[in-house]
Amino acid sequence: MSIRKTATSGIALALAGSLALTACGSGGDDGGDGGNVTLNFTWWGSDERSERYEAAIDLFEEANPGITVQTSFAEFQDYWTQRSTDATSGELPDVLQMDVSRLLEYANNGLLYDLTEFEGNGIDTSTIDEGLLESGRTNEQLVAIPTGSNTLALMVNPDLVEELGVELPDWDYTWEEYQDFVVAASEAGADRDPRVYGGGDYTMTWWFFMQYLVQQGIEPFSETGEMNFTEDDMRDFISSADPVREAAGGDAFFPLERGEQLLPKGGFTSGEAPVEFHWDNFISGYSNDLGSDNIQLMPMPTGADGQKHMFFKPTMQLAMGANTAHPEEAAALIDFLINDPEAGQIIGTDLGVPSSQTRLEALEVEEGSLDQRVIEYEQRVRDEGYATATVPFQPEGFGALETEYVEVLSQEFQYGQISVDEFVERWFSEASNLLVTS
Amino acid sequence: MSTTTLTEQHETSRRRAKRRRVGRTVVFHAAVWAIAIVMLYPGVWMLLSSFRPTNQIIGETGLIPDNTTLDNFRNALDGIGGISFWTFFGNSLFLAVGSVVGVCLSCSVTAYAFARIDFPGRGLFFSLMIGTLLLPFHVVIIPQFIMFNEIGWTDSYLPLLVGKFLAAEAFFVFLMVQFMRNLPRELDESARIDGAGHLRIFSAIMLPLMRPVLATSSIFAFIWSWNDFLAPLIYLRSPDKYPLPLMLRQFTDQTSVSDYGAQMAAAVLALAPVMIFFILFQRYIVEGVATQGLKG
Amino acid sequence: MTITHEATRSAQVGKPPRRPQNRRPSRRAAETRAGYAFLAPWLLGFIALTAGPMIASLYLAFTDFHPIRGGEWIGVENFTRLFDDPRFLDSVQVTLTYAIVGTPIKLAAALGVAMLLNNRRRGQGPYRSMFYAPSLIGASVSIAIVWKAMFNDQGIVDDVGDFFGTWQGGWVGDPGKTMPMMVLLTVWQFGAPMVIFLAGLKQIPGELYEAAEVDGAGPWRKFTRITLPMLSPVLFFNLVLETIHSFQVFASAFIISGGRGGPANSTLFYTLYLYQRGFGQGQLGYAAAMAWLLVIVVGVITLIFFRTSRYWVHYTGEGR
Repeated sequence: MSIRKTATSGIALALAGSLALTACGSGGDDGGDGGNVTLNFTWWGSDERSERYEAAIDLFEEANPGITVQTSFAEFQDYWTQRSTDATSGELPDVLQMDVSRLLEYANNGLLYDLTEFEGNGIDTSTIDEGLLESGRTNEQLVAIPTGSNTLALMVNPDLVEELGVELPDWDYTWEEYQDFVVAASEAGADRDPRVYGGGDYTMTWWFFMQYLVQQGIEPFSETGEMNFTEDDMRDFISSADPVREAAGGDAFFPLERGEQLLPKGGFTSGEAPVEFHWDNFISGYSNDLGSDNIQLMPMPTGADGQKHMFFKPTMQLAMGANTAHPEEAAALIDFLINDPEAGQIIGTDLGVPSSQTRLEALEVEEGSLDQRVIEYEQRVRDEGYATATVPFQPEGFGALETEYVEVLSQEFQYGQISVDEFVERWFSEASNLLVTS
Repeated sequence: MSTTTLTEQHETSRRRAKRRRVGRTVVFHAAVWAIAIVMLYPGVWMLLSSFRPTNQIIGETGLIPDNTTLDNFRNALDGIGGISFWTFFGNSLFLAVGSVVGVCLSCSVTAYAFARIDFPGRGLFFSLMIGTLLLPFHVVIIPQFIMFNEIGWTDSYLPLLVGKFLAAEAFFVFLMVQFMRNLPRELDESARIDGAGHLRIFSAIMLPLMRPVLATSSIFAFIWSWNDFLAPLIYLRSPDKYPLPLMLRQFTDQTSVSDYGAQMAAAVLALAPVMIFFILFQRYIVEGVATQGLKG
Repeated sequence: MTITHEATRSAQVGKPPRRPQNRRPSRRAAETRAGYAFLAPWLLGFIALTAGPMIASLYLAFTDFHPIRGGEWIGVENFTRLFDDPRFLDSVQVTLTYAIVGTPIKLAAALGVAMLLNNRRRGQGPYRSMFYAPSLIGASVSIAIVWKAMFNDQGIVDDVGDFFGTWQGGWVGDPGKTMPMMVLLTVWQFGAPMVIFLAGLKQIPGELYEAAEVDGAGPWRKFTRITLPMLSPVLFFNLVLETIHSFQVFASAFIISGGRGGPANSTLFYTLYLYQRGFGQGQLGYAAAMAWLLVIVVGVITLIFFRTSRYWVHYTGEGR
C-alpha cells in the first residue's frame, strides 16, 4: 500500500510544483483588469526619437485613461534581430515600427494585422497620400500605415567644413566631386586631435548601392523578387571609390576601427567627419547627438547621365502584430501617432515629412528649425526635378540582404579581411539563401 | 632531532626561523594583495563609477571620484520604457526562487532514486544523467524552443522553470547522489525493518540529513538563475516580464549617447544580491566548489 | 574530480547496493516501482527536454526549417553550406582560439595562486573567497558591461597602456585585441579552478615533500615530481570542465559586441553565431546542424581527454 502511495507521491511532488508554476505563469499575461489595457509598442531609433515618442504617448495615455503603453526601442539592426526572434514565436508587439524593407517578410507570413477594418473607422487614412499609403498594402490587405516620407541626402556640418578650410562641392555635384572633397577634408583634418576624416566609405551602405543602380537605369528587384543586377554591377560600385581608398596614404575614408570606438555614435555625430550621406529625417537625431543645430542638407551626387534619379521612400510605417489581443486600442494608438496634430507637433519630421496632409499643414515649423530644413529640402528636391525615380521594390528578404551587406561584409571589407571580389561573391552566395522569390 | 641541543643554539635558531617566517609572511601577503588588487579592480571601479557623474567615468583612472552623485542610481531605478527597475528585480527574484524550489524538490527525489533504490535500468539512467552533464546545451535549445513555441509557452516563465522542476539540472542530482552515498545505510535499513516505505525514508530521514547539500544547491541554483541570459533572451518577449540581465541589455542598447553612469549603476544593482549572497554564504559556496567541483 | 571518476566508471553504480538477502519477488517488483516513481520527474524531463529534443535536433539539421515558413528535408546541404560559410569558419576559429589560449592560462593562474595560498596554514580563507568571487559573476551581463567600459576607447585599460606608451584607442574596436580582452575576462575567473586545486593540494601528504627534501629535491623538482602527478586527477577534472565551458561563452560576447560578434567577426563565438542564425535569421535547420556539429566536436574532445588520461592522470589508490 505504501508502495502505491510512494509511486503517486513521487510524481505528485514534482508535478505539484510544475502546476503551481503554470498558475503563476499564465496569471500575469494580459496585465489587464478592470478595463485596463496594456499595449506594447516598440521602435528603432535614437534617444532623441524616443523622447519624442514618449512625450506623444503621454498625451495618448492622458486622452485614453484605460490604456497603458509599454515602450521599448533599439538600434536598427538590433531591432530587427529582436523582431525576428519575436516572429519565430509569433509574438510581435501590439504596435511596432515597420520598414518597407522588412514588410513583406512579415506580411507574407501572416504576422501583421490586417488594418482594412479600421480604414476610416479608427484610423483616418483619407489624409494620407494614396501613393504612400499603397506602400502598406500587400496581398489585398492593409498591413502598415506610413508615417511620412524621406529621401537620401548629404548631411553637412558647415562649422567643421569651415574649420577644415575646405571647399564644399556645389549643390549640383557629381560623385567624383564628392570623392575629391572627402580626400581634401581628410588631408586637412589629418593633424587634428581627434583626427578628422572627410567621410565614411559610402559604398559600404546598401541604400547608396540602390541609388547607384537606379542612376545606372537598373531597377534592382522585380516584383517577383528577381535580382536585376549582376556581380559586376556591385563590383563596379564598390570599386568606384578606389580613388579615395588609394588617396591620402590609404587613409582618406573614416576608419571603421574609429567608428567602433565611437559607437553608438558615428563619425559625423562625434564631429570627426564633416559630411555623411543618410536619410534626411535623421537630421534631428543627428543634431541631438552632435550637440549642434547647424546641420545642412544637400542632395545626392549626380549620376553618369547628369541626372540625380533620387526617390522618395515611405520613411517607416506603423503596424500591428497579428497576435494582438487589443486591436482596437492598438489602432487608436496608430491613428493618434499618425494624425493627431499635437502629437505631430512633438514628432516633427523625425519620422519623415508627415504623410498625413492635415498634420503637415497643421505643423508649425519655426523659421530655421531642423523640421523646416527637412521640409524645405524635400520641396526643393521635388521642385528641381531630382526625384525622377520611384523607390526600388523591396522583395521579401530585402532586409536580410541589406544586413549581410552593411553589417557582415562591410565590416570584413573595411578591416581589410576580404577583397572586393570576395565581398561580391559572398554577398551573392548568401543572397541565394536569403532572397525569397515568388 | 636530538633533545640534547644546547639551549642557546636552540634559541637562536628558533629566533632565526621566526624571523624567516615573518619575512615570508610579508612576502606572501604582499604577493597575495597584489593579485587581489588586480582581481578586485573591476568590481571596485564599477562600484565607484556608479557614483560618478556620467561624463567623468571614461577617461578617469583613479578610483576615488572627485564628485559623487546619486543620479546614476536614480536613472537606473527608473528602469526602461516606463517599467521600474523593481519590476525587473521582482521578475529575477521570482525566477530564482522558483528555480531553487524546483531544483530542491526534483533533484532530491531523483537523487534518492539513484542512491537508495535498487531497480533495473538504474545504471543506464545514471550514465545518461552523467552524460547530460557534459552535453552542450545548444543541441537542445532549438527543438526545445520549437516545442515550447508549439504549446504556447513562449513569453511565459514556464520554459525557464520547467526544467528545474524536472531535474534537468544534472549537476545538482549528481551532487545530491554523492552526498547521499556518504550517509550511513544503516539509517534507512533500520527504518525499513520498522516498515517504513521509501517515501517515509526519503521525507523523514533523508531530507533532514540533506540540509547541507540542499543549501549548496539552493545557493547555486539561485545565482545561476539570477545570471541566466540566453534562455530569457530566447523565450521572453514582453518587457514587463524581463529579468535583470535582459533589462541590462536593453538598457545598454537604448542609451545611444553612452550613459555609462546609469549602466554602471544598473550593473551594480543587478549584482548586489549575488554579492550579498556570496558574502553571507561564502563558506557554503567555496566549500561546495572545493568538494564538488561546482562551477561558478 | 568526482565527475570524471564517475563518468569513467558510472557502470559501477549499476551494481545493486548491499542489502539483506532472501527478498521475495514481490518485494523486488515493489522496489522497481518505487524506483521509477522517484525517477519519474527526471525521466520525464530527460525524455521531453533532452533526449527528444536531441533527436528532433538531429532531424532538423537535415531540413531548412524556418519558424514561420516551415521547411523540408534537404539532406546534408546544411553541413556542406557550413563548411563554405566563412563566418562559420570564423566562429570556429574564434572559439577554438579562446579555448586553446584561454583555458591553459586560466588553469596556470589557478594552479599558481592555489600553490601560493596552500603554503600558508592560516589566513587563506578570506583570500580564497576573494579570488573566487569573480567566478560567480564573471559570466553575468553586469560584468560584460563593466568589461566593455574598461576596454573602451579612453577606458581604464587605455590609460594603463598610455602609461607604458603603448595601446591606444581601446580594445573593443580593434579586431586584433578583442580576443585578448575576452581571454582576460576568462582568466579573471580563475577562482573556481583555483579552489578545486587548493582542495587537491590539501590531499597531498606532507611526508612526500619532506622525503623529497631529504633527497635534496629543489622546488621545481618537487613541483614536477610530486605536485603535478598527485594533482593530475584534479587537473584533469578542471581541464575537461573548463574546456567544455569555454565552448559555451555567450552572454559576455553578446553584450560586448552588441550581439553581432564584431568587430569583423572577432568575437563571433560559436554560440553567438548559432543564435544569430537560428533566432536572428530564423534558420533553425542550419542552427541545428551547427549544434550537432558542436556536440560531436565536444564529444570527440572529451573522448580524447579520457583516452589520453591514463597516460598522465594518476589516481592514488589505483596503484596500491
